[in-house]
Amino acid sequence: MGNAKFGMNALLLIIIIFSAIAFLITVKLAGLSGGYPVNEYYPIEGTDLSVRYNSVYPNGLCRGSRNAAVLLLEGDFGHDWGAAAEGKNLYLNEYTSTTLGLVRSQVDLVDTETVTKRVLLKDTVLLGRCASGELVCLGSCVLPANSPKTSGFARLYALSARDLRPESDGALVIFLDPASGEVLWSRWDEKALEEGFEERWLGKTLAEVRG
Amino acid sequence: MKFGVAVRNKLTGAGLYVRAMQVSALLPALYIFVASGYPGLLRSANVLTFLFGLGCSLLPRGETLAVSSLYRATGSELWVYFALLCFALAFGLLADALLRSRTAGRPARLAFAALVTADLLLRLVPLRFNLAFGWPCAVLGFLGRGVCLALILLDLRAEKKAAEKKAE
Repeated sequence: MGNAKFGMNALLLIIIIFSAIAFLITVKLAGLSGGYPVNEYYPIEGTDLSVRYNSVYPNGLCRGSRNAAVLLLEGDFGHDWGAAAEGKNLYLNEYTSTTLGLVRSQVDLVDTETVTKRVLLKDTVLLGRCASGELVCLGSCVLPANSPKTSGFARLYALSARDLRPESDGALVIFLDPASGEVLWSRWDEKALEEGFEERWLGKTLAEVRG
Repeated sequence: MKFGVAVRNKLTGAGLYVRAMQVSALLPALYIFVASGYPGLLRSANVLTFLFGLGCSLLPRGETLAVSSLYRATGSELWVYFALLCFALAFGLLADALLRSRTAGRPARLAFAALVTADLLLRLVPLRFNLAFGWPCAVLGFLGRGVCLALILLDLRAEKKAAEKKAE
């Protein structure tokens, strides 16, 4: 029994040491060879700003585009969904990835005058504006692209969070005031991640969805 | 002296619990290790996904919550991996030292019984984190710890009877 106990602890020690070496090879070194050349600029409507994806220079928010672009803020910002500008306020999704690739989204508020960024809502995706102009976000959600129903990481990530439910298609629908960035109204939608979100939420005014 | 050795050999419940916990820590670690070389693993449900959930469900709830918080704070699966293994190693070394000690034998087993009981009770609280990996893992986690608790209690009973016989 004594030998068995020693064996288990020794086994754990050996695994820790050797897997540290293995991770150094697979995660750190293999990362160097990954990727392909990218140099893309996505202008944000109504502004002279654009989101840059580049495999040589840092990704981020730029003023101007192409060769004249000046990097203002570094980060993996989203252009695909509801990047929205209102006066000096710019609302953007920012994606951060874990070491092995679980992507998290947060909504950032960028002051375009002072070029400062503030995290507005964590684990939230900005999807666009509703018919009356308010910003519509999906809060308390693990990104569907992470396959949260099958990914153990997504479930472990959500386990200690009060409001994340990766096992369901539900999420918190949040309406933001574009002028101040304050939450105007929110409601849990059990089918938020299913088809038809645009018709149910983006196609209506805040007064209509409030009922 | 021989009798003492025989009794000590019977007292395996706490030892089994320690081994079960160490193996439980290895299951999620295996998933993380494989996923580091094969990210496609994350996009489909498979045996390793189930083992990951089972391992997380078998670990003490407090540890799983701590690991999840660590994951949210650091955003690194490697921290989770090494935290799980280092905790299992530290727990194994500490538990072995306690269980091998003659003086601390009974108090150590009582402490283990209290620990497992607290964990079992926590699993009965109807909170979402108790079902994070689905019903099968939650039920297996509960049963696994239930068996360990039963064995520890049997050990304590056997130890008490042995002490009574010795006194006679």
